[in-house]
Amino acid sequence: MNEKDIAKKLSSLKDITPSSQRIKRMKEGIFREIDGKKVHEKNPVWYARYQFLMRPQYLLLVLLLIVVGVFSISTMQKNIQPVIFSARIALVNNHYEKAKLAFEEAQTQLNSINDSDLSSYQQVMETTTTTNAYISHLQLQGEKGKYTKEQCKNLYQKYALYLSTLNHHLQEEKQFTYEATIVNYQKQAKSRLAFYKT
Amino acid sequence: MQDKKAYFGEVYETYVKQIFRFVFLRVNNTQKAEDITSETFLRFWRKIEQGNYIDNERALLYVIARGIIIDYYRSKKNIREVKLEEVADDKQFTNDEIIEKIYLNEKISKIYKRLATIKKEYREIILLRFVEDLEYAEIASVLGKKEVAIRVLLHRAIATLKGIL
Repeated sequence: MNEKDIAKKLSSLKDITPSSQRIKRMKEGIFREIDGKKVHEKNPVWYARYQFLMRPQYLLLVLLLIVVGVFSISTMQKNIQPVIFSARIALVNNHYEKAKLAFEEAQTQLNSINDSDLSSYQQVMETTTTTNAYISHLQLQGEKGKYTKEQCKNLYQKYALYLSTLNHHLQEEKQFTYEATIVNYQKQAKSRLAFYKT
Repeated sequence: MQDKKAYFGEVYETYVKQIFRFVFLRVNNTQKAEDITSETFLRFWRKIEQGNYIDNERALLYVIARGIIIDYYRSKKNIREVKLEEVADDKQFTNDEIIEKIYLNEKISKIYKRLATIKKEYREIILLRFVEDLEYAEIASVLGKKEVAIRVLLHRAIATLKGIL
């Protein structure tokens, strides 16, 4: 049996062909896929997935969510600020550092005070009270070696100046509610400063 | 793009029958043969679309089809489908297609069963050479072997076929 004989014997297999209907159907399917792919390339996957968001009702919802999100973040920042402040104070290990941190915060708040907003005065006063509490606890004997008399004197000098500025500012804005408190703090500061100057 | 499509259309018309037959003789299921043939031409289109140089369309189509068939057999659940079709169960085809399938099954039952008794490697070469009419170089390309090796294997396959056909 040579190659020609085999070819002849197997020739009937060559009659195996798909029907014209099948050929047509396959071609249509392939071209549909090819054309479909071109559309797909124009519109990336993310576009196809989130295209529904372009509808007006979804667009409105998305905008609403963005507004709520921005508002929540700003509110959260306001609420979280005192927590961060308290945490920073709690982390330092002596009264000088605590007083210094509280004083810096009070100064920052005073510099950015909003005259038309009464709550901002209240906030400054709260921080000032905290500062006063920590600065009053400065004691060279109990925390020996952690800070010096000179450091305490400098801090009190700045604090006295700050109280004077705050008092002046409050009087200008006719905010007399806190006057007595500030005068009291000023007296304490004067007395302590005299001690550290000796 | 239109030129590429026109070229692809010509290739399809020229080789679709051969590729379908090549696939059918290996999967023995007209629907699966249709799916694999379609997938073969789609992959061929992607190569055209990507601007790949195609030296021999026919050889490339056989290479692609063979790869898909191998993947098909690798899937365990598909292996169960390798059997002569139950024509009576096929209600989705037109009469013309059912006649076509009966005809195909007769061919399979007479010749393919005899071919099934020889080594798969020999059967592959015999079909590519005598049914698909591929040149030695094309068979080498499809099977990923050297042309000399194909000549040797074909010689042995013919010797094995003596007395079977």
